[in-house]
Amino acid sequence: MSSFRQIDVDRLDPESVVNQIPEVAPSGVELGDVQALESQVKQLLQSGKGAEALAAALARPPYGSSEQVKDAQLKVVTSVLTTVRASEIPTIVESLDTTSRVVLVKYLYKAMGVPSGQANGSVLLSWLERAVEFGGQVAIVRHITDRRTV
Amino acid sequence: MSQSLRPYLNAVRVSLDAALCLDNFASELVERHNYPEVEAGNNPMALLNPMHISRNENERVLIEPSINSVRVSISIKQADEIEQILVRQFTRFLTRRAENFFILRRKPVEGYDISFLITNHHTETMLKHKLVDFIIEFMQEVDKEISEIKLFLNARARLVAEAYLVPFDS
Repeated sequence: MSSFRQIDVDRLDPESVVNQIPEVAPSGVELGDVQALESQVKQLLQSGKGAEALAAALARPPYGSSEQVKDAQLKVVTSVLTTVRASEIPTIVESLDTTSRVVLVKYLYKAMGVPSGQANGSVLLSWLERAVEFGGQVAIVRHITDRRTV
Repeated sequence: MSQSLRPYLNAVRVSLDAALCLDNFASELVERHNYPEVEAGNNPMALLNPMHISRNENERVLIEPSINSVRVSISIKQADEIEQILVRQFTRFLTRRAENFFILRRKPVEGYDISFLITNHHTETMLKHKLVDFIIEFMQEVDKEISEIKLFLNARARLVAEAYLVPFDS
């Protein structure tokens, strides 16, 4: 009889703040694009061009795409981050522009949240250290506040 | 400090520093109420993107920022079963005394061993850099503490075993 008390009325009200979920304009990155990127990145890595590979992987972040696409792209970016030699990290981070550096930090925080990234935690931490060294806190604040997640 | 611990603690420090930018924010759902938004979780506009920082699978930190509160969850290194027991007892000891710690959360977030909840009231009454220092120091001390307790435990167990086996030694 009193079950009506358990209904969350805010959920039923389209005007309520509970339902104001921020929308993200889709970037239009599809699974096919990620697969093309994967082979491109693999080629660049094989010829030893770590900086170009990372720039290509970060150029089109899959904002607003499905989780499947995001996971595929995360795998590509993580493969670049873990393949590059540790001595090259500072020069590569320095060569990135501010936008790519923000995307890099977003990927670092995301990668450290999944088991495959946690296994390479120390590598990702050294990337994060360099990114903060060159870009300051800007990238972290952008990651925290940006609704466009990778 | 070991070579891989420094970047880990540095990452936690800069992330916390960026996340601890809190402001008083009354609930938009219930009039005259003021919740930590990260705990209430019913206002998607007040929540910010979480940050995962991990050194390996066992040592992880999760920072969940929101407009008026930040939740910091720490997973403490547990190499074997004895350390698991010690960590559980140690965190239980602390969380039972949560009132004296101000920022300690009574219950850890799922998947982590201990959680802190920092609200805007804490950043108003305490110094922000001291709060960050406290969390970093806690992370350093807790590892040391656990390994120390483990050494004491082993030493005591050896002593007890020797005393117990004396009658059979003839």
